[in-house]
This record gives sequence, C-alpha cells and structure tokens, in this order.
Amino acid sequence: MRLLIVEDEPKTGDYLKKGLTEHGYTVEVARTGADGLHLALESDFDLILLDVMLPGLNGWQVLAQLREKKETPVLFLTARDQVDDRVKGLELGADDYLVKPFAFSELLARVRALLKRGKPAGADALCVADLEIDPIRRRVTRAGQRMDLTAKEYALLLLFLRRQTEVLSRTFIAEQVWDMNFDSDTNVVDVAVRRLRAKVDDPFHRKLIHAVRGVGYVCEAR
Amino acid sequence: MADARGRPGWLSWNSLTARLGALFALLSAALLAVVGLMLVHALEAELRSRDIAELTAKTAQLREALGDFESVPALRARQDDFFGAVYDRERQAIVVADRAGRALLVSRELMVPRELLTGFAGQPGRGPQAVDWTQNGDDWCAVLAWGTLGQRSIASAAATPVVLVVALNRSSTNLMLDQFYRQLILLLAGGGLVTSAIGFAVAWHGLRPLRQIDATASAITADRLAERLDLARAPAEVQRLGASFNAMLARLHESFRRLSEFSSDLAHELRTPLNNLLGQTHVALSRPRAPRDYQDVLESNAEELERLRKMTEDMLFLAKADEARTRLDWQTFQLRHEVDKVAEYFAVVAEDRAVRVEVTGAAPVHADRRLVQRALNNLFANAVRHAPPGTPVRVRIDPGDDGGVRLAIANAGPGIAPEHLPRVFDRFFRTDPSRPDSAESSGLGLAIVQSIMRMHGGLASAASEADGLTTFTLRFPAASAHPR
Ligand SMILES: Nc1ncnc2c1ncn2[C@@H]1O[C@H](COP(=O)(O)OP(=O)(O)OP(=O)(O)O)[C@@H](O)[C@H]1O
Ligand SMILES: [Mg+2]
Repeated sequence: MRLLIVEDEPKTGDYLKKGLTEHGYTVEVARTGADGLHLALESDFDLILLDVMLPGLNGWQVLAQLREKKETPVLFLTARDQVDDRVKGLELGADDYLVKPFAFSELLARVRALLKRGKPAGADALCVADLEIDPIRRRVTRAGQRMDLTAKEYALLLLFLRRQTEVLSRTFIAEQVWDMNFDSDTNVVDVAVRRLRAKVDDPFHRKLIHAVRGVGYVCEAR
Repeated sequence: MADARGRPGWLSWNSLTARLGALFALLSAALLAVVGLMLVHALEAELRSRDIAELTAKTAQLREALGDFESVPALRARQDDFFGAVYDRERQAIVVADRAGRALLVSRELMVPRELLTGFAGQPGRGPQAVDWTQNGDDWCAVLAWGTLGQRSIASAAATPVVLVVALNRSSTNLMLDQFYRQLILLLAGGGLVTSAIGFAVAWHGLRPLRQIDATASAITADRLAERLDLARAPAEVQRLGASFNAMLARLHESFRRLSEFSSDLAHELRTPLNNLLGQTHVALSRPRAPRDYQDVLESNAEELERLRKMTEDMLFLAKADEARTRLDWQTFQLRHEVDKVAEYFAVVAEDRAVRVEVTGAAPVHADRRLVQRALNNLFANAVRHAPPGTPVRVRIDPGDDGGVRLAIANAGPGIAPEHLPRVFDRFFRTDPSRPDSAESSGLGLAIVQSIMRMHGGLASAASEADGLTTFTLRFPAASAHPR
C-alpha cells in the first residue's frame, strides 16, 4: 500500500511517515502543495493524506486539481475544526478528515478504514488464538468454553477482533461501540475493557487484549 | 471643518450645533422683522390718524368761521381773521376754492393737485375727505370739505358753497418715520446677530453631553473600560443614549474581564501539565537509560498530552460557542432516547461503583442531538463520580407547561457548598482542586454544559442541599422560542 503525505510542518511529516512505515505502508512525503500534486498525478497512490494549510497551493486547491484527473482517496488533515471546512473538504471530494491535534491511533484507524473501503467487513477473521466469535449466532467461545457476554461486551470484543493488532484509542472505541461522537468520558472505556478482560482473559494464561499505556488498547495474540 | 479622524467637526454644516444655531438665528430674525414691521406700521397709522384728526378739527373750526363772511371779497379782506390763531403757518396751508375747483383764497403757496380739487368740487354735498400727495419733495396730507360762505348772515340767500382744503405738511413726520425705520433695521440686524450668537451658545451648551460622550468614547481603551459617562445632569434625550452607552461599556468591560481571567486561568491550567512533560523528559534525557525507562516516560507523556489535547478541544468548543460560531444541527428527537444511550454508556462505571441510574419521564426536544449528548455525558460523568456507593442517580424528564422541556439529574453525596454553587458553571472551576483525581478533570465539563444550553436558548442550573441531593437541571425552551 502506497501512501502520500502532503504536509509542510517537518516534524508532523516525519512522525507520520515513521509511524505509517512501521505499520507496513510505503510512504512518500511532499512538503509543498505543488510537489504533492505533481507526485499524486505522476504515480499511483492508494491514499493521500493532505494538510489544508500549505504554502503556495493550499489543500483545497491541490484536491480540486487532483480530482480533475484522479479519484485517489484523500484524507484531510486540518487544524481548523469548522463546519465550513469540513463541508468544503467533503464537497471537493475528500473522503474523510481529521482535526489536529489527533491521536496517531485515530489516524491509523481512519487510514485502514479508507483503504479497506469496498471490501466486505464479514471477510475479517473472527478469531484470535483460541478465542472465536460466531457472528451469526452471536456466540463467543474460548478454548471451547462458552463465554457469557453482555451486548456491549460483545460489541466491544467484536471491534477488537475486527481490528486485531491495531491500537484502538479510547475515543475511537467509544465512538464505535457506544456511538459517542466526541471526547466523551473515556474513563468509561477503561472500565468496560477491564470487565471484558475479566471475562475473556483473566481465566486464561494467554492474554489477548492489552493496554497500550497513553494510547489505548490492542487485541493480539502475543 | 473636520477633525484628525476625518469626522465632521462641531462647526461644520452638518453639525447639530451649527444647524440649531442657524435655525435659531433665522427664526429670531424673522420674528424681530415681523414685530418691527408691525410696529412701524402701527406707528405710521397712528401718526396719520392723529394728523387727520387734527385736520378734521381744524376744518370744523374753519367751516364755522366761513359763516362769518358773507362773500369772497370779504373773506379775502379779512383773511387773517379767517385763518385765525389756530393756523400753523409752518406746517399747514389753507385753501378755499369755488365749485369749479378754482382757488379763491390761499394761505400760502400750495398747489393742491388739480384733479384732487376738481374731483372733490364735482361732488357737492359730499362729506369731508382725506387725501395725500407729494409736492416739491414735501409730503402733504389734507382734508377736503364743503363749507358755506355767509351762512350766518340774515340774508341767507347770499350763501355761497365753497370747498375748504386744510393741508398739513407731513415731511417732518415722514422724516422721523424714516429715521425710525433705519434704526429699526440696525436694531434688527444687531438683534439677529446677538440672537444667533445666543442660539449657537445655547446649542453648543445643550449638546455638551454629546461632546462628553465623544470624549469618553475616544478615551476608552482595553485597560480603561471602567470609564463611565456622568449622566447626573444630562438632559433627558441624552440620558437614554448615555445609559445605553454606559450599559454597552459595562458589557464590554465584563466580557473583557472574563476574557482576561480566562486566559490567565488557561495559562495556569497549561502550566502544570507542561511542567510535568518538560521535567520528565529532561530527567529521562539527562543520562542513558534502559529502553523500559524511556518507554515509561513516553507513556506518561502520552497521557499528559492526551489531556492537553482534550483540554484544547474543550476550550476551542467554548470559544466557538462564545462567538456563536457553532452552527446547530436542529432536529426533533426523544430526549429519553439520548438519555438512555448515555446511561447505557455509563452503565459499567455505575455498576462498578454500585450506583444505580434510574430514568423516568419522556419528552421530545428540538435541539442538536450531538450537543445534547455531550451535555448529558458531562452531567452523567459528574453524577456517577460523586454519588456515594449504593445510592441512585435519578434522571427525570418533564415536559414543562410552557412548551419547553426540563431534565433533572440528581445524585446524593456531600453536595456543593452554597458559596460554590454559583461558580460551578465557570470555566476551570473545581470545588476541591486538591482532590487526588482533580488532575484528571479540567473543570470545563459544566462550562460546556452551560454553553450548550445557551446555544439552544436554554439554561442549566444547579441546586444542592447540604448532605442531600445535588441536582442539575437543563431547561430547553419551547420549540417556537428557538434562536436560529
Ligand atoms: N453531581 C455533582 N455532585 C457534587 N459535586 C459536583 C457535581 N457535579 C459537579 N460537581 C462539582 O462541580 C465542579 C465542576 O464540575 P465540572 O464538571 O465543571 O468539572 P470537573 O468534573 O471537575 O472536570 P471535567 O468535567 O472537565 O472532567 C466539580 O469539581 C465538582 O466538585
Ligand atoms: Mg465534570
């Protein structure tokens, strides 16, 4: 998967490149709007991360000119959380947008969502190690043992399994499981995950859900 | 005239002072002129009627005297007797003419205009008539009357009708009137000047409060917002303007005060996490460490930074709410539905703390769903956090009788001290900043609740009984009363 980052702020560009490269993407960085547009038109990328405030050609202009020729998905990065900006970006053909400052895990989640777009969600593997989910019968088993989960615990576990190895931020989890679309009290997520782990992980030696301190939670068989 | 800022000055044509002054001057000049003219007119008429009365009296005397002379020659022979003592040679002239208008006797050289004389002579028996004319630069006024010669003699058949003319030279009177005229004009001009000066002065004085407003307004800067207009002696018209102006200043002052308080609070709130970040990072970098130690520092930094991020987000939200820049996504929905959703979100935490959440009532509201969800979230977080284990958190939704909706969320616990109650909705306000978990909380939660309610044209309020229930109430206005 090839990504293009168009970002003039050097530190932002560098850490985005580093983080995304470490997650298995091939990343190129352009520091100006003109460079970015040139690169985007020259070669094929799977996704473009586009900053709005750029010297010379700004993000809007880059997007407008790009859309005349190509349909590469674009994720907008903006520092201005204004309805107008959001609407303008989406109207111009951006596929998603993210307001700075954002958590890297948040960005990663959105990048993955955009790249996966169009692929059927059911195709995800719904098991990790000896834990299995049967989505049709809504049944969870670990090591052949049936687990009794509440509806929200089930939804939470389903999210973890669908997003295995991804670090999920608390905000993202709250949004996905409880439909809380803002910085809600994330303490709730900690409690909910703790309860889920008590049922799914505590009785077993091998832990599947791990806290990533300062970032969120990840589900993987270590 | 314009001042340095390009505004018209106090004496330019569209200044009120100039206009009022000019109007005053114009009116007083017109008034003076009218009164003066009327005076002159009245004087002139009065003088003339006196002259005519004098002439008429004289005529009556002379007519009487005519009876003593039986013929024209007799009259001529004793003309001094006829003219008599009453005759004022300087100013008067007497003519006796026959029926054809021919002069029979003339007291002094005087030409009564012929047509006047013949005109009157042609109307025998007519009553006395007053006439005016000008001759050789002199203005004359005369009374013409019929008289009869020899009326008193025994032989009354010899009586001869004659025309008697008694004239008065009015030149001196007219001269006096002219002088009077001239003086009057001078007086008018002078009076006009004086009254316009007074007019300007009065207008200038009357508009002084406006200039004071100008001066005060010009002197106002961010650090001198406490300045107010002194309205104690201002006229009624200016009082209202001044009062509005003062009210505006008061509002500005208050917003400014809040703003500067807010930014100093903000700086203060940022200092602690920034200090931690800086300190931890510096200590970590001061010597080589095991990777595990670096990881520790980074993780701690990440937590701290996450809090900073959330705080800036909240602050931005509040700032935008203040500027009314947030466009609301109005829709009508069941408030109960959102409450249940948020209650479900907090269910695990509540259960963890052995707190029950009980929701009663239902009502539709017209509002922005996401914002309402956010407000509920903050209220639930507080209630669940402060409720002692084993106690319920009660949420009640009431459709108000005014068409609005009320939501009350109550929890037991130590409550909020009365002196703290009015401040709980203030930014960064925490009742006990030394609490161990206060590092987790920013004190922005209730401020956001209040600003969300304000955006909806509603209100959030708090009530707390000592060692009793702490209740937060959200009031949504009736759908018709929504600001748009
Ligand atoms: N239900 C309640 N019972 C008792 N005290 C309360 C309650 N809700 C709020 N308070 C008091 O009011 C203060 C302000 O609350 P607010 O929600 O604004 O800030 P916070 O909860 O401290 O921080 P944040 O919500 O930003 O995490 C709190 O510090 C708390 O002491
Ligand atoms: Mg709070």
